[in-house]
Amino acid sequence: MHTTILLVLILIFVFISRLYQISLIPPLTPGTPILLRYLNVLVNAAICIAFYYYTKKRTQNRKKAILAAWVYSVLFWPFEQGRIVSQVNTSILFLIIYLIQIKSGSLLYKIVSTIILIGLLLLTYPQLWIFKHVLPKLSFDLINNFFSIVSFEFLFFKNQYFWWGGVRDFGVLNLAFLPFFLIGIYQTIFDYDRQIIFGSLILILLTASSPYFPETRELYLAIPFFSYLIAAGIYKLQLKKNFKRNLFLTGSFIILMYELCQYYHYYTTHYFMEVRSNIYKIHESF
Amino acid sequence: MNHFKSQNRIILSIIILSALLRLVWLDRFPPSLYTDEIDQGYNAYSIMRTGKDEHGAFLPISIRSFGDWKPPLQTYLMIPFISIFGLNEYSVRLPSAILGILSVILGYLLVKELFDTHRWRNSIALLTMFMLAVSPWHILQSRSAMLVMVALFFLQTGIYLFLKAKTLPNLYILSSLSFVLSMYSYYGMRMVTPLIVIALFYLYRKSLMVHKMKIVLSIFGALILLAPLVIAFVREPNVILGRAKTVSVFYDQGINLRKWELITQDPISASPLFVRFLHNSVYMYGKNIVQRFLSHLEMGYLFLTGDMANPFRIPGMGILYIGDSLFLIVGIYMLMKLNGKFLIIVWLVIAILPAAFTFLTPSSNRTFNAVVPFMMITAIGIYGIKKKINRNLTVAVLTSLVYTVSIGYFLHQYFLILPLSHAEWWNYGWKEAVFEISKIQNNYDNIIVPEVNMPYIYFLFYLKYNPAKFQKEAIRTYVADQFGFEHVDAFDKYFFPGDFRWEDTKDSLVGKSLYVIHEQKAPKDVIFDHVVSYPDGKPVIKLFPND
Repeated sequence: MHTTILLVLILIFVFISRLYQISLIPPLTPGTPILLRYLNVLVNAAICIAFYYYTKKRTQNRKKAILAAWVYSVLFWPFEQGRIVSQVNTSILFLIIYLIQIKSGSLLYKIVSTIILIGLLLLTYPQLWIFKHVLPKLSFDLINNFFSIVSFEFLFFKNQYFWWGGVRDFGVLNLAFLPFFLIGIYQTIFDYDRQIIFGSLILILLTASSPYFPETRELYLAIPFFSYLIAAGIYKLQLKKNFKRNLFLTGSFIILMYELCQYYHYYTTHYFMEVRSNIYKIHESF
Repeated sequence: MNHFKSQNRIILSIIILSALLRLVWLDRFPPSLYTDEIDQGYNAYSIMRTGKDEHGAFLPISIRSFGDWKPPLQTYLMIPFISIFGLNEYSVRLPSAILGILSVILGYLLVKELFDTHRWRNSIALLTMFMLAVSPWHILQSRSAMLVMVALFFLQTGIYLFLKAKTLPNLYILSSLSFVLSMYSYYGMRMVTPLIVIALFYLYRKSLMVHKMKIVLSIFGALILLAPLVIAFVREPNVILGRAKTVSVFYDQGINLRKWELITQDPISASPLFVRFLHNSVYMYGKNIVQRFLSHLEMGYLFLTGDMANPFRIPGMGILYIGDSLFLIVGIYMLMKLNGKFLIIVWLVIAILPAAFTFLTPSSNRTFNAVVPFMMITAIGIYGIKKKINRNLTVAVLTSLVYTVSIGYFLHQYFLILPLSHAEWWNYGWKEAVFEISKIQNNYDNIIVPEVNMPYIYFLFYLKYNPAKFQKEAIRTYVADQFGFEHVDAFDKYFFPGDFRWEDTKDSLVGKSLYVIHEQKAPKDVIFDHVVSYPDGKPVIKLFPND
């Protein structure tokens, strides 16, 4: 009951934050029906619910699941993608549903599910580079791109690689989550959670080997995994309550709130101006 | 007994390897003495002959140099070598090279002391020693006199003696002496060393309580030894602050400009308090400093691109081997389970901290003492993988292959590519130009050398110019340029105009003068008879006689 209330509160937050002035910020490209943005908001909310159930099923822990859903809802990139017409956003929903139900079932069931997923990805996110190029970009650039993606700069400070990645003066993830992200990675490796470890790595490599790098959004598919890692870090820290840990958690929460104020202001004022003056460069539904 | 003998053989082999990598061809690789190296060399020569530095200061606590007030220890360490071997590249770089070799040995001793209760400490210690011996970062700094190698040696010594003092308390006094000497070695150590000492006091506070008198004596001794530095700072604040001002992140106006830009974009109706709440220096500088701190842990910087600032670059590679990346990640994971981890983590964080407050980041020079914790963690990673996989031969063969290729590549880049294709990173050309000029200088009344990279110091060094004479006749304004550097305008018949432009000067050249023009200021359309070239044949310094 308690968890349900929290989930409802998260959803309310998702709807309010994504729907506020959705027709104005960012500006619509000519010919973009506003209905598509509303649908995207619904998908974004559905991802939160699906992600909650995914984490609950994996960890058998409601607290961790709620944390994961909450983290996903406040991350910068899902917020930004939730307010535009984003095909990759829909792909995440199918990916999570696939991961929820894949665990149980025979080998044949898993193969069929995988084929269906690929088909759905092809329908919802045809720009995925593996649908257009047989071979990835295997060169020194792959290592360079990989290091660029896993850099603190890109993840927490400047999202400069992706026009479609959103607000460039902020990273993909919230800086306040940095210590929890690192603790979460350590804990996940310690628990040898193969799906999270290899899932993240595969998606990062997929992005790094894209011929269109950096203008490619495959990495967005890894955001739920990153949210999981952050939630794992927060959960680990709050397990043993002592004064230092409580102080650290409180301090991080305050910093997070301030960072969110910064981001929402930047998004509604400065990012809005930036997109408005460059809207002619976007030639598809936005 | 056999195990002990074979371990000693391994240690000896690594020491010999370190010595070879650091001493052989020390005068030729790097291809030229950099301005900071040559300045220390000449100041050491000046102090040796006259007791005063180039500015006439008697036994200075801080070497004024180009207005950057260099910490003095390395300069004083050069004096015995200059007196034996003369004023040349070897004498200038030998202290750093020798201390680099000793630093490798200290890496071994430190690990043994830090993990004294672990049965695998010998293996990790040997691995750390080897990693330091072949580290490109460590070799680059050992083979140049850029202050940080001396600082690292004394910091390592201080930490080692502090750890050893748990059983031999008299060593606390020597430890404090080492820490003080590190603060006389490099600017950044004035922040790093006190923080490391505080960390050591906190981490080992229980054992310190047993030897209170020794601790008090050590602190008292350190304060006395630091007194000259404090007095010098009181007399001349630039002794500590001078260079810090111009490289500080707060000196860079980019953040203030960005803040102003954001404020002007906010709606006019917005409350000033609200605008200030969001766009303020505390948040923007704070975020910037954290970003600069973390830039030193970026994998791209560590393994691919390295430091982009001259002369700390190694062409085509990072400051660590790419093979280190896997072992470093595994090492971090394994470190979390060990006693002794806090010191390594704290050391790593403190090593990077001063550089986070400068605007030229990432910087491998300012964070150089992080090389020791990095190599320790890598060694732990190598050992951890070997233990996990439990196939000693396979792991040994694969690891050896990876490192053989990596080290071979580094040696190729450092000893072949760097001097041949990137000699300009080390201000190559002035030595050769001075030798050419020394043959013909008596034919001219004036030698005019437009200012590029402090040429005056190269003339002083390679002409072995009488320091007493220079102290009296040097013409300086003591006005710092935009980077905080002070220049020499002239001495004897040598002139170093700062604002030289050939287009403005060519029609009114001074008679019976030799113009020595660096390619950065040389006109492209004039043919020069005498040209000093880079090893790859491109011109670097052009001589234009005006008879």
